[in-house]
Amino acid sequence: MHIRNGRDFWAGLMFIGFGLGFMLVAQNYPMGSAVRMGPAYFPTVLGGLLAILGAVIVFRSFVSKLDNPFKVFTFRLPLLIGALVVGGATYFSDSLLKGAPLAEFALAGLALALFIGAFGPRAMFLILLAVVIFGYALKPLGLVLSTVLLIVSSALAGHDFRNKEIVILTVVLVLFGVLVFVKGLGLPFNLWPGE
Amino acid sequence: MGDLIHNLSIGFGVALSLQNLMYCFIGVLLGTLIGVLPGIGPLATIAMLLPVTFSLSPISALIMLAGIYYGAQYGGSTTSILVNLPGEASSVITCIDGYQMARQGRAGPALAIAALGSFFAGSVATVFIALFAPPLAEVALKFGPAEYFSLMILGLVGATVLAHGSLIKAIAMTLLGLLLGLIGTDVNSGVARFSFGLPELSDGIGFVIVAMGVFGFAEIITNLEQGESREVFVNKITGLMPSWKDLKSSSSAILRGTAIGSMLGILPGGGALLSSFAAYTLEKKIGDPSNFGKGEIRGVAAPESANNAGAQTSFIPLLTLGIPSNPVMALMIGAMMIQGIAPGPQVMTERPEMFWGMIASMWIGNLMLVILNLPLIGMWVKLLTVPYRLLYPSILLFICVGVYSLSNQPFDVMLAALFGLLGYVFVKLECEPAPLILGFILGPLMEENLRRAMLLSRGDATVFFTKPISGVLLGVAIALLLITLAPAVRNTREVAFQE
Amino acid sequence: MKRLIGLTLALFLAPASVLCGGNAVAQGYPSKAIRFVVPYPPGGSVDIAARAVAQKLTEAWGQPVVVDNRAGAGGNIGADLVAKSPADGYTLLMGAVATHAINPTLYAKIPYDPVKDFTPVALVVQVPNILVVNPAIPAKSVKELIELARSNPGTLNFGSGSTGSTGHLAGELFNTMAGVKMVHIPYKGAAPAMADLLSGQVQLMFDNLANALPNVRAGRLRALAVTTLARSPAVPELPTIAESGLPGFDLTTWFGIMVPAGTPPGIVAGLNAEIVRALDTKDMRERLEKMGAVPPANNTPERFAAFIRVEAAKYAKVVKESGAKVE
Repeated sequence: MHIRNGRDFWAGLMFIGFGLGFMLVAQNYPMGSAVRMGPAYFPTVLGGLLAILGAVIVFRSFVSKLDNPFKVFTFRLPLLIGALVVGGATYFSDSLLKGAPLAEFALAGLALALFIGAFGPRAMFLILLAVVIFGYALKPLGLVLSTVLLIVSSALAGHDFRNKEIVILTVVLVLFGVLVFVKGLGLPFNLWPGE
Repeated sequence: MGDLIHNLSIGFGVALSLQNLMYCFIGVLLGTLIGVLPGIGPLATIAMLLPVTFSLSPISALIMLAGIYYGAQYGGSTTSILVNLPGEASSVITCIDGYQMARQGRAGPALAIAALGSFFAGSVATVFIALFAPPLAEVALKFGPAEYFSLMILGLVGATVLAHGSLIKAIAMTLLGLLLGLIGTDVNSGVARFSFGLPELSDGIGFVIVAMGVFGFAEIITNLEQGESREVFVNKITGLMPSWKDLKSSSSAILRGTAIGSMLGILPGGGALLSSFAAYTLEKKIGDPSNFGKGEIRGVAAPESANNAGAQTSFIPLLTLGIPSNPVMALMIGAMMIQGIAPGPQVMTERPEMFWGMIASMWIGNLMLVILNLPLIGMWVKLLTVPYRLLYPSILLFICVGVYSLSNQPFDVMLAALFGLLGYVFVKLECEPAPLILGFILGPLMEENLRRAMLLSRGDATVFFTKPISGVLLGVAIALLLITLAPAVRNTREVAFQE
Repeated sequence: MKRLIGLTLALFLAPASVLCGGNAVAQGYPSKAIRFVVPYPPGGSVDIAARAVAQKLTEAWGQPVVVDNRAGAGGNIGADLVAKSPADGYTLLMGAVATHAINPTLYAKIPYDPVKDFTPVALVVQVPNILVVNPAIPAKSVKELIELARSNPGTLNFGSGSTGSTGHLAGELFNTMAGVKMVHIPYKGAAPAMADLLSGQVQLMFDNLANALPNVRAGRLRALAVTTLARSPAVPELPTIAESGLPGFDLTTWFGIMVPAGTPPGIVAGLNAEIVRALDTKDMRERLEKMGAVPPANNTPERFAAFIRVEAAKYAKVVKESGAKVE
């Protein structure tokens, strides 16, 4: 059996995964009846439909007239497994880690980084990681430093970066950010650490 | 008729005062800026400015706040076209063809048609409100939960038509969107669903987060992946203004979009959102669908007119009944209450200068927006010629700040990043994000209405067919579904081949 | 833009506030911006009242008091946020009857302790709910309504802005005390509930006085009674439910400002003094009266704390009797 349409195959699997996932989690909530629908009713029905559609798509991918490569994008299984392991450990040892929020945070961050890194081009890993770090760094490090981090990391993810350009761009964007976001719109960002 | 002229003259008398003109201008300017920046939306801005309005006269306050609201619609369209970032839920549709037009160097005509179409729609909608406000409000009241549910089913069926790829994958994306929209607290039972104990998720995922991730981040990532060939964002700018051909083909699209938007905007709760989707679907069905999704100007003209008409007519339930159609209107009610005006049906009769002044000001605001936005097109287009390697970090900064500013939570930014990852996967697997977004927005609304309708009918499911409006809507939905499926079934091979 | 206007206001009012003697009790309090958490979405009556008070405080102190809307879980999310904030007087909460009296019993578990985690500062608003019916319903008084409900069991629907709101509980209490079975239809917010009431999808509602009054005055709704023990000065012609056949029926919606427990008493006293002063200004009184709100008398932190205790006990009973529960 030869999978002819790689894209559809993986798409179908993804849909099955989501459908079953939602159905599974929904079991935690009361189902109710068709008359008085409980919180689980709608999601279960929809999840089931989604999983069925996913299965149809997978089936079609075997008999499709198209020929798509099986490998649609880079996928690093070891990283995904690592992410699941670390993530699962964080989730289940919740009670153990209650006293050490920093450790919990670090583990969760590691799981997240591994998860993002499991898919796609290295550029994506860099950019998404930079974005996440920006979000968490904004309060402790302030707008200026976080912006610098973000711009530099994301520029590195690009192709032909010239150092001088990155410096100028960073300065321009930091100025812009301070003037427009903080002074102009009055957004409550602190500019520097520890304000 | 004489009455109308009399009322309008009162209205323009109020609206054209120097003070009110100034507030109108401030409002639309601010609104445009807000619309262009992702994340910080009209809701947050109006909330921030509410205390400032305490010291203004009621009509000036309302004029300014209203200006912010529809100004944001104009601004949101700009980013949708330029960088595939929908500022508002209703701008999502504009991304589809508008962004493609920008990629082909036709950002200028796209922006111009969006502005002109919106102005036309806004003007017509204003007249609409002036003439038909009270009876239209009555129509809105006829919509109960069963009718809303059927309307949304119709909207979802329309969403499958939006797909220009695999139909079945589009349906699956809609379902996934519906499911994602269910994350959060359930209205009827109070249970927090799919939140995994995280308080940040207990009120659901914000639209902005999903949109920025799936549209914004994913777009940047896929662009970077394509490598050296994306040196400049746009290769060739072919003129700033739409050609005569553009104008001709858009004119009927604009008319249709205006009609749909004016109708749907009246319905409180989801009406205006559906209007841009519905207008796009209608355009695709009428006339030649081949260019949709690849930069068809009608695909910009229709939804833009629809969402602006919808934005204006969504004031009707507010002004006539005191019922807000969406959270922004709720804030406007708050603003009115602060001023000591009880919003409701008596506003029209007790304070006609307020009612008509607002209506006149809405038209003036639309005029100001066109005057503001058309010259800016040159500037926007110039912006696109910046080398992409400099552009995308800027866009990233905008998105990050925008998402963060929603509720100052780093969690939101992380969530947007995850949706960026998901968006990338979607692009690679050729799954359309637009049906997902529609499902996402409509999901919780649909479920709420379904359950409420069942509660009210004490479990009688036939109510969806026996109530006249609901029955008609469902009938159209089923017909539309059959029309869409029938050729697909017959031509399975062709469809598969086309993919 | 907002900064510009705010700056202008501040410049203009700073000398005024010095003349009024801004009450900074603790050393230089406040010396930076204060965060005022409102656990409800923007635009509702809580939010409006909060913004009005915030504006007054900003004017008095020259430091911005910024409203931060953190809606969700019936108000629990916002309340929890403040409960876990530092007790330095720079985080305020607009607590409500929901967060501090109803939810502790209604919800199976809440992440904060309404008594231990907070120090009440001042009551801001007490608003009665009003029983309104769609004019198509042939009931012109509470008695007639109860008659109607008894003779047609299970046919009447009442809407509310959310599960666990006073509108919801009022209905359930009515059911219990009158021995009738009206069906509760929850909505996401009072506005859609009102829309369906006007169109007749639901027959009645125990809505906030401020929200319902315009439609009553316009004749689109018929008001039957208020839910408080005493008649409301805003609508003195309306009887109370208690005097219309269900003695002891008493439900009020209230909001008040609280700070995390452990905040220095000096700051609490200073806050209280300023808030009371703000509530006493002419325009605030007018606004609150228009909302149908009763200005609280003798508004001290201790009285507020005692009030909350009484309310919590009362609603614990109401919730249990109604059988309402949230997982």
